[in-house]
Amino acid sequence: MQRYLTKRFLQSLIVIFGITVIVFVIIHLTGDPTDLLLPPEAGPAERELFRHELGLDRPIYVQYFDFLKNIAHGDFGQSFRHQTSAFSLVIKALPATIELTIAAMSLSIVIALPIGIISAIRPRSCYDRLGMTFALLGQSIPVYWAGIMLILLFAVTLGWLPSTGRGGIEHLILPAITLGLFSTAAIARFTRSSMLDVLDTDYIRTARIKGLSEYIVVLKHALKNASIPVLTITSLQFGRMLSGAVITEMIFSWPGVGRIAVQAIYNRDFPVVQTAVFVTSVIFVGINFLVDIIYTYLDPRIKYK
Amino acid sequence: MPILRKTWVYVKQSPLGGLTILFLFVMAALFADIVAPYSPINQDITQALRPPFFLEGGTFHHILGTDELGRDILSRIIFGARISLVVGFIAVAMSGFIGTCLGLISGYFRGWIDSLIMRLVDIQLSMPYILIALALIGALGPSLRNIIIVIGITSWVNYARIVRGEVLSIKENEFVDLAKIAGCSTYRILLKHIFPGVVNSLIVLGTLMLGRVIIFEAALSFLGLGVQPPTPSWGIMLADGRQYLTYAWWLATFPGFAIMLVVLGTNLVGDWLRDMLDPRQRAAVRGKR
Amino acid sequence: MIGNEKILEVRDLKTYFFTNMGVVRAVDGASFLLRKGQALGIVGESGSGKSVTSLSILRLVPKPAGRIVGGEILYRGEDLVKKSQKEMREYRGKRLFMISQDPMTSLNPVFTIGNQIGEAIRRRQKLRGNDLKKRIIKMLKLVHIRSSESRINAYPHQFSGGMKQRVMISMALACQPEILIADEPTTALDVTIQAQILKLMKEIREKYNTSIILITHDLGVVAGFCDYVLVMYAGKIVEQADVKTLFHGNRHPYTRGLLNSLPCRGKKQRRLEGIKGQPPDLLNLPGGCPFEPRCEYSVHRCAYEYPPTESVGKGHLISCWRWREI
Repeated sequence: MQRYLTKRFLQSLIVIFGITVIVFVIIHLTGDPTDLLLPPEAGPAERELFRHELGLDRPIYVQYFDFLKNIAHGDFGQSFRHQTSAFSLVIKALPATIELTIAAMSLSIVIALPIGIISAIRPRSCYDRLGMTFALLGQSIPVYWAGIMLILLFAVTLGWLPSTGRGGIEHLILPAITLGLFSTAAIARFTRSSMLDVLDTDYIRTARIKGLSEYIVVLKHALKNASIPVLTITSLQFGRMLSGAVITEMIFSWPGVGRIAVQAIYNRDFPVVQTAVFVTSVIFVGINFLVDIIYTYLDPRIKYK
Repeated sequence: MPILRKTWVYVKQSPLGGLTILFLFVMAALFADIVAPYSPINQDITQALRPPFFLEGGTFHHILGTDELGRDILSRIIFGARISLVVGFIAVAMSGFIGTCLGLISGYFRGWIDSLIMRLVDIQLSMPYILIALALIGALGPSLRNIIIVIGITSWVNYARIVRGEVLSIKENEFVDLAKIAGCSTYRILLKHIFPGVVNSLIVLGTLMLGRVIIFEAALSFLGLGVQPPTPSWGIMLADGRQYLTYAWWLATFPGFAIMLVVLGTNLVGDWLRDMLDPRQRAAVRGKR
Repeated sequence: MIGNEKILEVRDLKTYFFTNMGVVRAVDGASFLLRKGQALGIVGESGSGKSVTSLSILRLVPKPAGRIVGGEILYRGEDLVKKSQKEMREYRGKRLFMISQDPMTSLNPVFTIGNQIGEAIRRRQKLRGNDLKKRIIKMLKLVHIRSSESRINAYPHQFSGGMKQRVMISMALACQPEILIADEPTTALDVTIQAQILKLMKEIREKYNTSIILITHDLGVVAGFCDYVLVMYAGKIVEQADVKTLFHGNRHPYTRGLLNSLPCRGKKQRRLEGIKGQPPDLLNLPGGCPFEPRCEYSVHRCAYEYPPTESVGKGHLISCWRWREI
């Protein structure tokens, strides 16, 4: 087990390393910040001076190593817009995003798993058809439209829930549902197919031959096996949510990392953009690694692969 | 009620439902000039914010109502289909091509190039693709061409992974070794022996990705970093509509509904293709037991 | 040892599979008896209906496509066909048990074998903790698996095929069933392991007087193990007799063909004879006797009328138009 986890850990590090490269490249694609930071009247000499101060006239790889060094210290530069470090801005917004994502993910799992399991136990029944229809629709509805429609229904028309901002649980409901919609659908479908596959195996038949109750067959024997691929999908969905949170946060004015990042893009505030991308990515890599650890508990064969 | 259910089951199981939807949209996009009652950029302030025909104040002149500048919603939706489908098809083709090539190379040659490409895939998958896309467009400037490129760049990973997986399992077959022994050139092996086995999954994936790309494009436009006005994109319509949500709900509802419909179509067709092209063999074997 | 008690009586069992491509009559009118302590062998090719017969007895026919459409399965007088799944659960694991063909996939990979054997034990006795552990160890010992703490907490993938099959047998022992069905228990294993497994099963039979239904395509195994044999072809029992009669007094062309295709020890080795023709296509069975296309004794009648089951001698039944002349 040690070897497997170490291997995965090193892979994660490589991925993070690669992320830094990409972030660096993107930032440099966005052009010379000199034009942004200096007033337009500035002459070429001033520009040169400025660039020299910022270190922009050094060769690329030197800039990159500097970049890495700074990141290691948590220094992502100063936000162009606000007078604070980009890192602190992002960190401050992080809890909001995490809260939203966890709420959405929890909602997804709690709704999707039972739907998937019941659909698998009673294939082609009413429940199955209904459940899978909703799943299909859920995967066809774009996040932004869902959010707007939910606002239309619950905030504008019914006035039950607020449409913007973060606060108590009533502020969390609509964004969480919006963010979790796609995942719920995807997980439900996948759970169903995974369970169907498992229920067809020889070892489930052995469990039935032993005369075990259907509850135990499904909830003990089948579920543990079926949950392994479902876990993969779930972690992928989690990554998707970190991305999708961007749109949800914009619609509901949720003060999370996504919204900060988009506003930074509008404002051409690149340090903030790069920080947001980096932090979100690292979190995702971390979560993937956690999922790997969970795998070793679920599937004893992993250690030997 | 049973009639409804029967219809829905029929719609779901045969490709007819999905294909019909897609067909309608493609036709609408192709023949937008003829089909749409108005030009999408035709402004008429006197007709601003007219509700759809079934509400009070609506007319049959503007079946789905008008927006804040008096532009006909239905026409804009029809022309918007053009944008969505053009971006969709080209981006899918582009990323499909890149992804397939890399997936084939990765799966077939293994070794360091496989590791490299897979690391690249992992890295890109770890990053929030929307932010990346937004940042890139922010850097390159929003234009139709750039959108297609950016979406293409962020989507190739899906194809690469799946193609690689397929290649790995196809390689297990003996005929690949036999082809090698027979002296076939690598290029020929890839093209004639391995690629045909990959095609099925690709078709399914491409169809499903079409829907996702359409959603992606609309998302970018929604955030203002996609297609720029006055070109009608469903995403822009949604963004506009959001501002008028309280008194003109139809601005945002119908474009979004159109998106949902198209994506439903691609999902239906994609699922049907998947069922057709894959577990056919499995079902046949199962029946025998 | 073999009592006269009729434990299981199958009457005209019909199990069909309804597929997109047609109806497969996997078992088409099978009738036989099983007595207490008897070892019954079911012989036939793949697709002959042997496995489906055993699944039918347990009422575990794979559901959407398969169904028992007719007949009775009388276990001590109770018709299992009429039982609900809930009622069947009382029988399974306590009176009936089955060991299937592929030991590699019969055990749940994510639970320890101790856990899985424990489940079987608890069907009979409500043990927990240390008592349960002791019993698991005893079960493993009975199948000659050197048991220890580490073995009990090991996972199936850490065992070899032969050992996995022995684990299955220990589960069977834990259940103490009256009827043990072994569906090709040794097909997936080496010949040496085969002997061990069969020996184990013999021990079970002697010790607990369990009736065993052994399904196999290997006539050698049948000769060494069974008291009574059914020969199946395309879902029908074409001949059934006690083992001696089957080997030396058989009358059905198919049985003849099977025995003739065995290499003979002692005799000068002539060329191996197979049975000419192709295995039957279960979706497109010809009318009449399904073996007719491959039968060297067939006459015109065989092709369109299925022969009735007749008695050749004591306990020897056959379905063939021409058994008298063979």
